Amino acid sequence: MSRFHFNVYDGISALDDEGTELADPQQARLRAIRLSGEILGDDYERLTADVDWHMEVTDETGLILYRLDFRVHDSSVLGQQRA
Amino acid sequence: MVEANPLILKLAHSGALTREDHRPLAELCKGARVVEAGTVLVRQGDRIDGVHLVLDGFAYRYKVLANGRRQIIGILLPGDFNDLQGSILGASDHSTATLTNCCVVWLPQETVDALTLVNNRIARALWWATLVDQRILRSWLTNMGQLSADVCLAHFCCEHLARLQMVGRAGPDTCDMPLYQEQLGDILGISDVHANRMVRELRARNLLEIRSRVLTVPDVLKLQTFCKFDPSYLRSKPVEIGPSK
Repeated sequence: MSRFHFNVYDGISALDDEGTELADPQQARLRAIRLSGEILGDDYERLTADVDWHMEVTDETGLILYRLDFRVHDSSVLGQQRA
Repeated sequence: MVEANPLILKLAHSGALTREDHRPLAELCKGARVVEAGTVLVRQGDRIDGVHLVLDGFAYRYKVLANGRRQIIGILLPGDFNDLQGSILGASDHSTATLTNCCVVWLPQETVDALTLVNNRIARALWWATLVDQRILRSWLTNMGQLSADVCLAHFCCEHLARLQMVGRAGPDTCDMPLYQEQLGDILGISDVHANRMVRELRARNLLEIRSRVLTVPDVLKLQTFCKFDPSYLRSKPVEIGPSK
């Protein structure tokens, strides 16, 4: 068992200073994907367009093991419709 | 003497009991035994021919799914029955286990039936208890389905504190909450990591603290307002039917 930290960069959240004990990096990877869905499912109305939403999973030493990104791309079609 | 029996304290909130009903209820509590933490009292699929009554400690009800995931569907506090009248259904659709060391009474169905047959008020109080359990479940279902996890956690904590206060097992702003964060996650339908985040977030906002299996709420009204908690679903009294005595 090792401790993994899930840090979310969304302009709102504090860093995960406590971490969670998990069996191995693969478990941390799975948790990170599930966690991303949970946070986005809760926070979707609060997300501002200019934030580069991402999550970093680190080990106990702070080494980044995984990075997850979420981005909404407005297509150029929208720009034309507004014009 | 101040009443200490959690079953009597709990059922008194039904509004159905008189003082004469205290003795038969206290009689029900005889034969209690100590059960260690982590003991499974009822397994999913077991035949039900009676009911467990928790007198001290904490237990929980849960379902385990084929994919290995677990959903906790209820927390049993002192004064709580596990599935009153469950024997009507035959087999249990969920499991019950102790979270802490508990003092538990096993009541055969005949014992419960005999008491409710001769005492209409106790029968009504037991119905009330069952209906409140259903209200709690409906509240959990609605919150989990529609609200963000921080609000769900806050609501669960308000409910837990209020329920323990009703049986004299909590102070005005603090109580035991012997749940690991993984178990909190299994209650709220979220991952252990998300549960951990929500506890940290609510702590950072000074709304609650869960440390060493104790819940502390700096400002109960503030926490209740945050999650729109209204305790009336836990203790509403039945309406008098017919001419008053």
